[in-house]
Amino acid sequence: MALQDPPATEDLLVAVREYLQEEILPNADQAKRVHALMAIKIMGVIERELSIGLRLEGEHEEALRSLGVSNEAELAAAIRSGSLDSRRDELLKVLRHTTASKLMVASPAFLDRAQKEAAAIAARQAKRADAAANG
Amino acid sequence: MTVASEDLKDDDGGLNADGVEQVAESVVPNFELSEALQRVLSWQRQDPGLRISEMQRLLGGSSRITWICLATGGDGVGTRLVLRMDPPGVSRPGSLVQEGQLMTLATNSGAPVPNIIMSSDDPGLLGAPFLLMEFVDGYSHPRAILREKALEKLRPQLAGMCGQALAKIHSIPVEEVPWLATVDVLSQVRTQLDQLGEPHPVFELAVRQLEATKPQSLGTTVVHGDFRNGNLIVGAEGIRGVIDWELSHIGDPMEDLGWLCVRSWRFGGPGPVGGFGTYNQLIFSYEHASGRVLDRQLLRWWELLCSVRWGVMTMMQAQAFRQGTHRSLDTALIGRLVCEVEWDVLALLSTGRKG
Repeated sequence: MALQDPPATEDLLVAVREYLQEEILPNADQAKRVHALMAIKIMGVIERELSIGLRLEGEHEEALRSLGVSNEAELAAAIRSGSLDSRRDELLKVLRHTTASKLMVASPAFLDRAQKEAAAIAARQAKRADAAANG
Repeated sequence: MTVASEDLKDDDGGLNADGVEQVAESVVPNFELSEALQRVLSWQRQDPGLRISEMQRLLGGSSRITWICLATGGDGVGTRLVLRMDPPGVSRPGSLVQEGQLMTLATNSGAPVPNIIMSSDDPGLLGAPFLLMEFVDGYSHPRAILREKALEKLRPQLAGMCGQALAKIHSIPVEEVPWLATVDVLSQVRTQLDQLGEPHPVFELAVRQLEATKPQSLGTTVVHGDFRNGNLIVGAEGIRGVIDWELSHIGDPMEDLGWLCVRSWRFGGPGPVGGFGTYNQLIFSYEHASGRVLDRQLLRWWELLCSVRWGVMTMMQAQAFRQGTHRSLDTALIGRLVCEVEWDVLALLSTGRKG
């Protein structure tokens, strides 16, 4: 069991976020409002990192291992040396996964929209390919 | 309507939502600055009856402080003015005066640019170097440019107008702006990335591809450096003012076109050019107005480079927070939003290879 008494970290964060949302935001002038919104966003980042961060770290390590490196610095160095040039598709897949994992914590709304856009483009391309094959 | 409440409803990511837009603070009276400006301007205009009022500060991610005010002459005629100043303690001697000189040259070349009234490096006049220009009325908020009903007919033409304005900016004689530094964006990005010392495999891959596919230069011209949705003041008839010239330099004119296409400046709009236009509209109008020949693949290369440049710029802002040189909530958050730019760069790397 944890050493610290309840509430848990997550619950303390939610309390602060709710205070910002319910007490500060409605009464803030325009300048303060922008900052209050920013603070609420930051609280959201911390909450998501606490809840899914560990799982994402694990997945990330596994993805790095599949390319024969153990951290981001090694991956950057490998890309720069050209040693991954022949595994470009695999590399892109890992990079997309890594970036999506960061977005899930930092900016899930961005990820959601970007993935929908990408799906729409893919569907259009498939439809065009289909039309070309049939016509 | 406020930017803040709109962003709460329509949250499509932080980098293109809060950090870079300007918000007029309700009213922040600054009598000291009003009085100082009144003294300086009534002397410059030889109008002892001139009065400055309604001094309001604009907030934003800019490295400059911007004020709007009303100048009423002794004859009772009022003019809205914009005052740009270096923040206290951050003195870059000469730069605001030179910014004003460049804007005047841009006006002379036919580009839509606010009229410059006066500028000075002397911090004794207003407390810091300043640049004073006429206020240009119109829409400047990126989302308003994308959604405002009054601009409905204009929007399909706006990318073309950007191409024309850029061609004019790029026609400013380089020898008239000897103070502007020459920048090779690709080597600058490489150097900055190395100096930051933070591994970003996505940017590493992009730089490697950019180096391997470097196209021939279209020439050496004045580059605005931040020509994008957000730095344009627009009316129903077209672009009324290109603003924020502080990043201008000498370089390849394609940089301005590539920067205009970076996804962060689309603000959720469907068009790849600023959210409002197509690549071909920009390419055709720029070719026609400048006489230079370019193609889709060249623009794609520059869009990728400019996207990486934007990523590196956000990393530098994040570093300013960590090093304590600029501590604020937005610089705190921005490091975590670099991955938005990484996503855009990956999209370009995944689709753009064959052309």
